[in-house]
Amino acid sequence: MKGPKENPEVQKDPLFKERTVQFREFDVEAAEAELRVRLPELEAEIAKLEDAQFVSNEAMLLEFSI
Amino acid sequence: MPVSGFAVHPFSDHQLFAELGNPRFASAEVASHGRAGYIYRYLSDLSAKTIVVENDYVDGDYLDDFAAYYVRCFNCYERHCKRLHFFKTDLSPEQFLKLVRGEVTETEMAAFRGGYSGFVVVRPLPDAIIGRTVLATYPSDGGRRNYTCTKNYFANLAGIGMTVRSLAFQEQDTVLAACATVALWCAFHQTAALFNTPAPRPASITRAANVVMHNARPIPSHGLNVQQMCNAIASVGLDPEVVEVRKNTPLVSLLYGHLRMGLPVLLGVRIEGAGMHAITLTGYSLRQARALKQEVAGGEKSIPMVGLRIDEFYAHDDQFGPFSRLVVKPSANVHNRIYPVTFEGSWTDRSTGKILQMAPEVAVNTRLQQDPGDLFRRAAMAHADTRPAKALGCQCRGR
Repeated sequence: MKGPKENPEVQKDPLFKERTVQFREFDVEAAEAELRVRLPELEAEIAKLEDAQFVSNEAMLLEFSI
Repeated sequence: MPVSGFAVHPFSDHQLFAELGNPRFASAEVASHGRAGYIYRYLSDLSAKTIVVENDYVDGDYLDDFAAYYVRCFNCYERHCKRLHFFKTDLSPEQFLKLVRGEVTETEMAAFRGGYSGFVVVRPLPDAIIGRTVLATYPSDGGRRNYTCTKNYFANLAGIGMTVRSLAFQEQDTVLAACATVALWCAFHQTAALFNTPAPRPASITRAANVVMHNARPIPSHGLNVQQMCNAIASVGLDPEVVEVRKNTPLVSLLYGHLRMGLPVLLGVRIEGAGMHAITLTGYSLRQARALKQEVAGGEKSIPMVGLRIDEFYAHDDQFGPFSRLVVKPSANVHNRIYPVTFEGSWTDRSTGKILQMAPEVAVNTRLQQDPGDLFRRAAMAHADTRPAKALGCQCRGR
């Protein structure tokens, strides 16, 4: 069975062409730099979600009755 | 000649309400019954054409409630239910007889099974008539609607095996199970399929919830608080996890993280002018584009996550019906408290018809006791939208 690169039918598919172009344009270094910039935000988000695990007594006593 | 114990009728509101009624609850009253009306509209949307009535049906959930409470009442209650099966195809009593006798081709049998939309168990009670209900979900609408908390249910209809993918629902029977008990019951059906844990009946859930706290009689049930819900979750061998919703909680993404894995979430909401209500979330609607500008309150920060593309959740709301729509609305200040998001569902003001706002207070979910990690956090972070901030149209610190 031929892979997509060897298969002329697949290569004619505009979607395949579009995706190939997108892949070639993907800049790995820029993506890494982007992630480095956003790392503090991700860490802050994790800390916030950890804080969310502390549940007040008032919340534990909320009664659902309707 | 009809099949003994069964009846076949064309689907209509009149016929459905007649079948849902009983000597204690006339069909005229059923017509104004909220859950019955919801089920009629739901089945109409699913293009139901036929009702097959299975008389003298023994339902385990109702039987347990009967043994726990109704058998001890002065009034005599029936212990048998009725089960209504719904089909998208037209069916006559003669055709049904042929199907039961096996006098049909394989193609005809496959078409009959393919048209199955599920069933409703009808309890012989005054008011709380909608028992265990297993109905097919709406179509996915091109992948937008995701009913992730569903499993396959098998129904035996006069010897014909039928399968439907759904999650069981029932309306609350206030003497035995308030909203929180029913929400737990729905969730336990799913966790049983996921983790092989028990799926106790409503009366057992109410009892398990009241093992530690004895501030009132467990039966008749007046409702459960969060601590009692946690007791009930622990009683089936699962660990509860409670998240108190604060203005900076990215609630929609947190809910999505669980639902995507097929874990139902119990959501406690404050309904404007009505009180506190518990529902079971069973699915979500995921759009291609952003549905929300942000999922936390104004002035709070949150990284862009998939929750921003969710515009609706689907919930088993025991006051309405299965898979009822819960539209996600932006942050709001309700009675001097800021919520990260609010919801609008089927709750309306009876006098004005205005849609009531639902403010999320707590999310209670379940996980396996041996799970060492924080499943909830991991789930949410695993689905954080890591596309460049520019592509998401949001500002990023340090740029």
